Amino acid sequence: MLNVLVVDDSMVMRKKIISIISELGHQAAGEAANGEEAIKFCEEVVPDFITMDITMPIMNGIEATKILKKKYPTIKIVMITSHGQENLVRDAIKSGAKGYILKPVSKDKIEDIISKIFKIEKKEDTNEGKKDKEEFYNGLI
Amino acid sequence: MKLFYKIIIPIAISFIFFFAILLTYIIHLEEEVITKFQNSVRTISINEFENKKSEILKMENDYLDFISFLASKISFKYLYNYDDENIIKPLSKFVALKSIEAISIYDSLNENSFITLIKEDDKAYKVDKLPEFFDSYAKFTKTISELDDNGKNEIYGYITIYYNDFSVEKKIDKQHKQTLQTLKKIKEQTKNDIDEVFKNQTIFILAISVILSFIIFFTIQKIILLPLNKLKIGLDSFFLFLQNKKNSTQRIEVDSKDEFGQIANSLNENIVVSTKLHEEINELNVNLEQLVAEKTQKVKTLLNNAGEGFLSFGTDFIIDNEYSQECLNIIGIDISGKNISDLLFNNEEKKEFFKDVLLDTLEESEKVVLDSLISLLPNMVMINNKSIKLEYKLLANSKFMLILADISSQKILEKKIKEEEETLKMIVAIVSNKDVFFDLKNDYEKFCDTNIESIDSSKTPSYNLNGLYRDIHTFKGTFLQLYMKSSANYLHYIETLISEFIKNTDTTNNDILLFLSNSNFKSCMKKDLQVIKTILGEIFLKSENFVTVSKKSIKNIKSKITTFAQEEKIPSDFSKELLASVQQLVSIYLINMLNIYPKMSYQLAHRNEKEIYEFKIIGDANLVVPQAFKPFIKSLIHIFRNSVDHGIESADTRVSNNKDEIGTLSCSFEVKNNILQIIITDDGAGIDIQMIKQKLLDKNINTDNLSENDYYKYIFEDNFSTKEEITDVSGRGIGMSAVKVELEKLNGNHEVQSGLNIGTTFIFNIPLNASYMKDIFENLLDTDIRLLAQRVGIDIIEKNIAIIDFNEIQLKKTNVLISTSGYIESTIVVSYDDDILKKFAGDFMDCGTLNAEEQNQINKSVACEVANILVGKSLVSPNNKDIIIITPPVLINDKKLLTQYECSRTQITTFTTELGDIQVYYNA
Repeated sequence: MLNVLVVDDSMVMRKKIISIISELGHQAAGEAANGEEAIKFCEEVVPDFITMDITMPIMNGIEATKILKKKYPTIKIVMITSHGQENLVRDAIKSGAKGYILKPVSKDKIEDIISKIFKIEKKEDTNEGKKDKEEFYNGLI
Repeated sequence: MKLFYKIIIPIAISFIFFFAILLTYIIHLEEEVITKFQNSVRTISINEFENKKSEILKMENDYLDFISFLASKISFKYLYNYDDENIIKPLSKFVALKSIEAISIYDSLNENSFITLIKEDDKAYKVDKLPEFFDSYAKFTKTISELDDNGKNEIYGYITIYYNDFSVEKKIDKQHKQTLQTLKKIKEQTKNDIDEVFKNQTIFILAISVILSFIIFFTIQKIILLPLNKLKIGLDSFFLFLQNKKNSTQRIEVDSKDEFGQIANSLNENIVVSTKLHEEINELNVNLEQLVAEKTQKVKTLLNNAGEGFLSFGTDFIIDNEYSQECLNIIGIDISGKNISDLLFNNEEKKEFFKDVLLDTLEESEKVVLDSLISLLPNMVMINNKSIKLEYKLLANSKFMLILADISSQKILEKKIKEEEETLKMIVAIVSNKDVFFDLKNDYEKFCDTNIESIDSSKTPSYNLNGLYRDIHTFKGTFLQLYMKSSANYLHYIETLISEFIKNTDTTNNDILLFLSNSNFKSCMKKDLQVIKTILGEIFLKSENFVTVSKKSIKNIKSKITTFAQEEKIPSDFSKELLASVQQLVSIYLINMLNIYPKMSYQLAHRNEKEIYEFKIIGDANLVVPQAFKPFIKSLIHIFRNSVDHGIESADTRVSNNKDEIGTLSCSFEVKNNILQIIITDDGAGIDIQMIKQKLLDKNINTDNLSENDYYKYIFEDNFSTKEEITDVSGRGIGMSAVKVELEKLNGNHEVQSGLNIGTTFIFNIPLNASYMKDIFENLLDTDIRLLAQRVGIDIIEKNIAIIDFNEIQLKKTNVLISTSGYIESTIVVSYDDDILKKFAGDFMDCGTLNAEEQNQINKSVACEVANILVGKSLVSPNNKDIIIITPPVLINDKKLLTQYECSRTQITTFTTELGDIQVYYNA
């Protein structure tokens, strides 16, 4: 279970991501409406994972990523972006982000990036599939 | 270095040493032999010489001894006699002898010299004293004695012979010389001999050596080198075989039983085994190679025919020389050495981004980050008007691979599939809404025919344009509803043109007419109709009539059922049930008509990145409404569209206004007191009165004293929109007015309730009776009159429906009024031209020639009968036959009698025939 901080200036977006995070069995450690709030939050609790909107007032996601990465190198950060922000995403990745999620966010997208970053098996069905295959091969032998 | 030399050279060197040592030894030996021989020869010679010398010396001594003896003997007498005269003579003879130089005789008795003779020039001379130099001469002295009587020797003197030993020396010297000469001769002879021997020996040894060498060489050659060479050849061929440069191996033919033979044998055994193994491996290899070659070829073929181009480049972005064939096909030129970013993009920013991101990947190692970076790169580009899919692969050594795939055909296919889908949607929509389609088609065709006439030159151009605009907008909406995209697009284009006209205040009615006559409105549906024709067949487009027939037959069925039920006295419940189910075939269920909107609204919201809850139409599922409701219900599309487009806010706005982020839309209907009420509600932003006010002020409209409701009315006016931008959905301010127009046709009214940030509710009230009648009129017009007319042989040339004011009513000579009450309260007036009545009468009352009065009476009766038949047949349906009261027909001549017509508009339907008109007035 990951402690997740959701950073987005849109409340709806935050709600949506938090609901997905909990659905995936992770803990929504908190939410922040801009980079500054996110940094303040991390001073108290260091989350494992942050979803970070790129464009936010006061302090944008790239700025925040830079600072957070410097202070807490273990935090994995992914950016929430829209089409046409490829350049910003590149900057974010150079600043230390691990990846990005293209809006609209969905359960699949978040699950996918979390499993890639934390190398968490995606659900049990893959294991079952493996087992099936093993059994199949055993049967052949 | 060859083994041969390795063996021969040491042997040769040892031979040379050996010979050198041997020669040295021989020379040394020879010298020793010579020295020894010389020594021995010399020793022998010297000994001999010494012997000879002593011999000579002895011989000389003996000789002198003898001479001196003789001389002594001779001298004795003279001495004894002292005769020194006579002695000279014999002694001279002695002196004359060779090598004797002098002779002296000493007189021992007198103790003086008796005589001395010396030799000079071989002659003896008497001297007194012997010269001194004779002391160096050798001398031999002998006593001169005489045996006395006693036998004793009595010495009388001594004789001394001086002799020159030169001669002896000479002799010895000569001997010596001879010896030396002999020695030298012997020495030379010996040396020559020895040299000869040595020479012979050397030659012999050399010869022996050469022979030995040859023997050794041949031996080595035969015993070592030849087998070795054979081994080498054998092994060489074996290794060549192993290297696949030879097809077979050969046995190593070494038959000797020495180590080489053994080596050869074991090698042969190994070669046989290895050959077998190698052949097996080779076979495998050949198979494998074949497989690999096949695979390689396959891969190559795949790469070349995969429909994907493979190319690679480094950090300089210069494409490597090796790239697959497909790249050529895609890009069309040889791309090796070209810069990849130039080929893919023509925008500098994109090129830079492409390069930067790829270079960034070199600094990253984490897969997820790499994936993220790569996914930032464009996955599709257009090259030569082809859609090229791009796939990126990171290779080792800072290289990148790009896989290009021409997906143009795929895109075209996708487009086609989408078109297909749209077409199918259209077909399904048309087939399942056949009536809507044919209504639309007929209406539109009629619109095309009449749009020029509809331009009322007495009205302002703006009025005419707005009317035109409204019509087209509604047509567009309906086309869209039936997914007739092409037609809708065409109308959208026309709409844009008209909106230009509206904006232009200089437009005159003539401009509009010119525009209309130049526009080919009819071509609008052409493409869609062609598609329909192709898919459903031409017969479908003509099937409109079949539908009519089928409706008619339904009516026939119904009447047959009724007749049957009456005649056979079947319980009315049964017949009612039967009739109701038949009626359903031609009825319109309101809920079905409205049901397209929830889905449409949901999709529309989704497209606008808004969210609304899915909703259902709430209302009596069995409520059947007349055909006449169709246009109005169709026009409701504008209400829903407006609600989604302008009403429901974006999720963020909603949340910031403390509203549920997901919007709610609802639609319900119910019938109260014969009035159908349709309520459409949204919980969106509400109507902004200030915005309307501003808009009105912009249009120079006085907004003083306007109530809230007055403002709301404006949104139903032509050309009024609060939305600035024009979207394909709404924003042209025309939709709402279309609703209003359709509503008025049904004599309906509307209410608007709105609160800022609370939402908007539209309430539409439509009297059911009135609308029912309109539906009945449809039936009347389309079926019954035609049926009647057909039966009496009248051709209906034209049908025209209009809504008129009371003062526009112009009654004909014969008019029949029928009132209905109960379920439907209405007044119907059927107005005939005389000739038609005559024709009808001819059919109804065929009773020969009649006078004018009689004829008139009959006409009146026929008029009443026909009206009665029409109204009775059409108004009474199984749904209402028990609750509808129809008054008997009454002839009227004055429209003043139609008092109830005064307060509202009347629908008039005119059927034109060759014999005149039949007009039917309806008022509810």
